[in-house]
Amino acid sequence: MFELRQVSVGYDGSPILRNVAFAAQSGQITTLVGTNGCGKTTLLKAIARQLPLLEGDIVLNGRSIRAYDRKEYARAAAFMPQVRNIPEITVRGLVSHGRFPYLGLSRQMTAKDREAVRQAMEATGVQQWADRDLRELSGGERQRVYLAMALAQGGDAILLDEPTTYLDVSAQFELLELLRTLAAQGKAVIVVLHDLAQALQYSDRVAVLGEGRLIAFDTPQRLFEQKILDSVFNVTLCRAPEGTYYLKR
Amino acid sequence: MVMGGLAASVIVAAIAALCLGSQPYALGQLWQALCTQGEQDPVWRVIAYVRLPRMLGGLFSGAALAVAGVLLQAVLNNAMASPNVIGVNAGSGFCALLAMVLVPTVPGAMQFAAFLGALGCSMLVYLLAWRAGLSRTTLVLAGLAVSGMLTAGINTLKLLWPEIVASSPGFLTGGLSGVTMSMLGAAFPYFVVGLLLALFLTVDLNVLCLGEESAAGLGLHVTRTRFLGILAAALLAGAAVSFAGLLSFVGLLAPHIARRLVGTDYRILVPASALLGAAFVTVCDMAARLLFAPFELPVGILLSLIGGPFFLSLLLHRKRGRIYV
Repeated sequence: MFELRQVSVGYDGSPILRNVAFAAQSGQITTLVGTNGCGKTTLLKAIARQLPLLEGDIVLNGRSIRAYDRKEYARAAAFMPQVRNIPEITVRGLVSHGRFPYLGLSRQMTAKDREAVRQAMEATGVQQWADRDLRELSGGERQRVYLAMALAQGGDAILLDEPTTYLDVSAQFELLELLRTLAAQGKAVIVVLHDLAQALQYSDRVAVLGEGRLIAFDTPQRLFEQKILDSVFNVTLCRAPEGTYYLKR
Repeated sequence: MVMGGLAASVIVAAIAALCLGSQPYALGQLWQALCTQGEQDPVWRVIAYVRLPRMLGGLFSGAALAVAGVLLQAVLNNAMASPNVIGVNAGSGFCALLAMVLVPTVPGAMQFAAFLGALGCSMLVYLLAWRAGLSRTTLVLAGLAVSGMLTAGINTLKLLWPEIVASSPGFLTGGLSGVTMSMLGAAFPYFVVGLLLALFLTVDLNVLCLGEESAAGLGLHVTRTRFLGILAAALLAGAAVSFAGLLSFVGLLAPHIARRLVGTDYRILVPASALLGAAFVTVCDMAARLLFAPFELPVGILLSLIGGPFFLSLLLHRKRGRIYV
């Protein structure tokens, strides 16, 4: 479980977001939304320890994330950045990199590591491509492989930065459903999403960021009822009778 | 399989380099000479004092520059990086010559200076790439500028102290004609440490290839890995430059061909590049000795003749010029 305590984040000492405080629970999908440039990716990077905090603290499982050693943190929380290289590597090879934080000085994988890799591939349904080259796969398939790598890290938390960007619509839904499955297995999933309707559909909690602060942190249902998103994004949020959210001008 | 082939080609090249020359020896003669170990035997003297150091020099410099190339390409994430292209060889050569001028009597000073020059130059280019966010091609141009300045420095040293020209005639083009066992011995520790460090870093480099953020997310100390990679490259390039001068393009050619053969897994790519570079320089040096016999080309000229067009084709096919397409 992640707890953000009065966090300020930004670059070169000038904050983009100030005093952000919320908790992302295990077994839930917590989504960060906001208009472009609101700092949602910056905040996610700070949670992933890719960026130092300007103020406040983030606590993971009772300890400040600053107190973790590099590899220890990688074993606790996995981070999927939006921009990645696509190296010439097999699917199994890539998923195996998820075990890097467990390797000793000799950098040799043990039987336990291989078993974790196998389980991660099975959980994400990528074992069928285990020996294929990553570059031969479609965007959606690749994204599942990266998610398998994150799972192989074995932590309780997974942080994803706009994982659905560049994917076909059906692949977007598949990925989000996979995230739901992982949350159901007890992971704390924190994700930045661009698509508001999808964010509301798949999240347990949504953090709405804007104006340099956390505007709201609540369930999709309550956010909808209070019409908070309507004013932030300047749209009309609607809900179809069967429960699907959609947007109108 | 491929590795076996590469290892075999290194052995064949090494034996051929001992046998072939102005006075060719049959394998039997070579074996006999090696067994007698007599100072009186002329065949033994030719082999022990001329061909063996030269052959070992080819193997070491080829392996060292090839691995230095692989490391720099990984660290800079730039397929066109190699010790000579980004000016590392020139920096190393400048400092080596400077040491020969300033402290000619201190043993080991020249090798250490060659290493320091290589390290300084690689760090400079790395900081340029990182701080200024240089694109792949711009980085090569920056390397060219650095290289040009340092070559001018080398030429100035040669004008001011012509006596060091006499002691190292082929330094600028790179050559193995004057290599002695004591020169190799002085460079050997740098070579060994650099190679071991490179082999130790292979898994970390694989992780680094996933991109800086992914690598950091996996718990890799990105800056430290990059620095160690540069350190290893400098140890290797410095070792090669200290006895072979400014050999060009090995560090570019060998890694690229090795990548085609074995893929991009650094655990295999690093040793494969080392073997390929070793065989390549040894064969080229042999060709340079034999093609225009009794005249001899410095091997550096031949390497430039082969490497130049290869480099141009990399520049022209920029899409393929990325390591991680």
